[in-house]
Amino acid sequence: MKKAPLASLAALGVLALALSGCGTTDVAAQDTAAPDSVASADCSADDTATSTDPVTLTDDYGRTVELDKPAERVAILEWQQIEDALTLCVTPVAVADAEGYSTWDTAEVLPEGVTDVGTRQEPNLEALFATNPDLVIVEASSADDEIIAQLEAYDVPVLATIGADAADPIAKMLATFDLIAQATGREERAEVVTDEFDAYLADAKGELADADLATTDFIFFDGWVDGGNVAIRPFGQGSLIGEIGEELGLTNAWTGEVDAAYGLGQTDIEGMVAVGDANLLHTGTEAEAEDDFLSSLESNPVWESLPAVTEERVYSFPAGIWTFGGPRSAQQIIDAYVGALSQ
Amino acid sequence: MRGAPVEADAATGGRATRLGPVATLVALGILLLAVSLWHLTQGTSGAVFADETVLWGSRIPRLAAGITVGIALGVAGTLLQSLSRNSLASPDTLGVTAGSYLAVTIVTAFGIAVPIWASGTVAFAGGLVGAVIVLGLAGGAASSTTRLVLAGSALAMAFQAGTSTLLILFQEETDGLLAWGSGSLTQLNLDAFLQAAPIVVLVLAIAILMGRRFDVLALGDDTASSLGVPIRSTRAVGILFAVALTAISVTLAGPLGFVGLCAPVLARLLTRVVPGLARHVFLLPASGLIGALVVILSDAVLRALLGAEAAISIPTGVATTLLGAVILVVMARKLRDAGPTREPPQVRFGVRSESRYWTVLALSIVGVIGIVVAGLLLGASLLRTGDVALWLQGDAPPQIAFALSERAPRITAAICAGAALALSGTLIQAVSRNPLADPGILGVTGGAGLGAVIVVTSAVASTAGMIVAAVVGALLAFALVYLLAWRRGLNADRFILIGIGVSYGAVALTTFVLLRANPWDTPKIYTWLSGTTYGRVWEQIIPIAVVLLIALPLAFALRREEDVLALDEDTPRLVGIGLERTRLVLLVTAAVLAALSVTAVGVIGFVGLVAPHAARALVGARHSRVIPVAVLLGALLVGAADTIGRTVIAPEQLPAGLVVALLGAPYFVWLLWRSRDA
Repeated sequence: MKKAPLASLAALGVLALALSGCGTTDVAAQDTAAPDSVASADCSADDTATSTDPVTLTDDYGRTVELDKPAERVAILEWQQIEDALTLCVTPVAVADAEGYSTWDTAEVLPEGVTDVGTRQEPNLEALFATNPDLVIVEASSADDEIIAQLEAYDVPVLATIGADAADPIAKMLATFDLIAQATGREERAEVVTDEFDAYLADAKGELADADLATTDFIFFDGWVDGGNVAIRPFGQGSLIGEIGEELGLTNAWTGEVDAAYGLGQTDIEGMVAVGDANLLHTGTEAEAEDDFLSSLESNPVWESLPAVTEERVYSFPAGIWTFGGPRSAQQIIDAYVGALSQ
Repeated sequence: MRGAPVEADAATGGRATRLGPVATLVALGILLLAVSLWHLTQGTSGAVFADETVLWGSRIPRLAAGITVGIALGVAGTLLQSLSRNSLASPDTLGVTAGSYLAVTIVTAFGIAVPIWASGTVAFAGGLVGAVIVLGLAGGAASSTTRLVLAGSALAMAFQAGTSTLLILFQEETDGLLAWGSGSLTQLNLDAFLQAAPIVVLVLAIAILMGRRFDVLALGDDTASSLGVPIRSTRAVGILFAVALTAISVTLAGPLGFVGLCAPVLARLLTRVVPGLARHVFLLPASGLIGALVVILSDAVLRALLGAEAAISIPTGVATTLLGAVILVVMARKLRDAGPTREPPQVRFGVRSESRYWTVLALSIVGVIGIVVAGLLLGASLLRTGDVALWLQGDAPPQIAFALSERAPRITAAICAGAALALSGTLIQAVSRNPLADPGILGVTGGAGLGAVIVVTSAVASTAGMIVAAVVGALLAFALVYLLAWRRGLNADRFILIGIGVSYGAVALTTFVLLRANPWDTPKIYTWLSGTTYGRVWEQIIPIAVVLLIALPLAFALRREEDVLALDEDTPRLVGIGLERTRLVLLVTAAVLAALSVTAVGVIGFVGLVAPHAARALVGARHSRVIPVAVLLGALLVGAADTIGRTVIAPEQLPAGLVVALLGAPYFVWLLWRSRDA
């Protein structure tokens, strides 16, 4: 009886061998054409030219990336960069966590048929390179992040980006967008989008200035309730969403300690006292649990004593806005600010 | 400690400063009050004297939760220790907290909407399942210390593997759960406390009323039944109480590590000064108060050191686990040699024939070859053997070459690490004469993981640096365990218990370092803590392969010594084997093997435990046979786990360590169940 598992394993191995035979796999005629263009209304109306010149660029970690021609078959391993490519009307051949992207980032719709290569932390390299990419765009945490070396081993150019920089998050977001535009020869389109973004920002700023707000102070946060526990994550100085608020003429009231990349802080309900009479803005999701989060907070006297709560200035942003996205997500954020505050 | 840790040694009294138990309780209460007042001056708003709203909305709920959790865990720990007559039983080592955590994670990950009042039920159910399985498997409440701790730790490992899998696959859904999973006192409001407090008070009151029964039960089953105490019902009620108290504390504050272990241990230490305290009427409230003191003090010190806002990113549980680990080590050092009553848990298998050995060996070799081939062929895409042949000649099409040159180092890493861990486990089990010991439980892998994580999260991260740091971390942890356990020789039980303490401490520190570096990258943290072959390159595998080539012949050459060491303490001396020197050689070999396996696959548990057992079951206990078979089986297990992890949910991947725990847990459960009467 003790031998059974071992024997069956061995049998399984033999069976696998027999089934797979000694043949070779036919590799389908290599798909080297560019994938379909993005089908969004925006992109069907797009008439910007795509460069065909060789590309030489320096990525976020000072690595030189040389391409004979702009990349057409890009594999992208982080959501912000996926969104960027789609905004540039470039459909990636492979992305990490396609389902998660579609749930959490609704700024650009990911077309059907893009290969999913698994989680963002451990993308399946085999599935990734099976799509025959001519460029891999990855977000790395440092110049010698293991993922860069792992990808480089496959002889496909790797563009390493930094996700965010709390020193100037909007400029960083646009720079990443621009970097991807250069790599794909879509600078012309990038210029159009960037101009649109600037105009969008200016319009919204005007709209909010006219809106006669009780206070221009605000704090944006998300959070969780588990059991009797609560955790609040404020988007502090240097967070993309916070800086967009500031650009709109508002003041981000969260001045607590934040991380160096995303500008995120951590606090509890008591910590919210520090924001004074600031408007309270909150991540929205479609899940019911999220509504529970806000209504759970209402049972707390400190929360109930916050000026914004007593004056009913607590607003939920719409669901599906990725707070770490590209220019189109940023425009969704701008819409959300205007929608919430000028109600 | 073993046998009757709660014996009322009132006869040894006669100290000049003999305090009454009541006075002691009052003193503890006053101390708690003082620490509580300090605790109330801390908060994220920065004010020392908070206004009424903040006081009632934030600080009092936090303090109340801390005190309630501390009392609940302290009392639960005391009940479990008394019922099992075992000074190392606690809600953590009995799988209660891990069970609760898994249940809560399942609910969160799948977005099952549970009202807040009911989330306690979820935690309770999970905790109950954990406790029932562990106590059942370990052969009931009167089981030996080592056995119970190992059974509980192993089950907790399996639960943790399930939890980690969910945290990795449902990252966005479970974003807030990592910090919670280490224990946090940040309260929503007073409601949870108001629901929990009456139950805690009620349970404590009934337990105190039953105090005499617990006193008598601690004297032994025979004594108890001759005195008319119903054993089964007392035990069942006590365990249910302990589980209820633990589940309540998990609901309030998440799994707060080790309070349930160290509070009762401290209370029992107090009984040396205040003998009257040993009676459960006083012991239960005393450990409750001490538990509350430990929680509030850990929290207050952490907040005083880091500032209230920064301290939020470091769960209170990390601090209490560190404190608990230190206490465990100190207590284990006091462990007396148990003498002739000591009987290590064993699984006995009959003598196996020569022909059986050769059959098993041949099958294992075929199995390993099979898994190497399967590992190359299976993955995100199914390949055929001809592809491998082409690839070896360098003629494969690029896509297939990509796939194979990614799979080859991974399956090699898995095979080498599995073999190394199995050999390491075999040696450690022989030396410690405990078939339930493994490199993970001896602090070696914990130390290696800590060293590696410190380098990975630092500015100077590099592959070579990581390998060096892992080896140094492992050897330091091992040296620490060895030196702490050394008291005129090495007592096997003491060695294991200190190893567990150091191991828990290392994991708490690893969590601390990872949370400080990046609190939001939960999947990365859990992937790291659970072991993966992801992205292995040949440079990371060479060290383990080389050491394996040296260690295997060495271990085989010393097979006779290992056989004799595994017998008992005296035989090696009789047959003229230098006991301590041989032990040291074997242990250092085991430590180096385990350390290098961490560089190849991260922290993988279970293999070192399970492979030697399976080998003994198949070919008998002689090391000349156990070593080759165990090494092959270890390679087979990790190789299979890696291949399964890469294949079943492709393109997503499960870390090999999690699959090993998920595969290994059922086997281990069976093993413990089978050996419960040994």
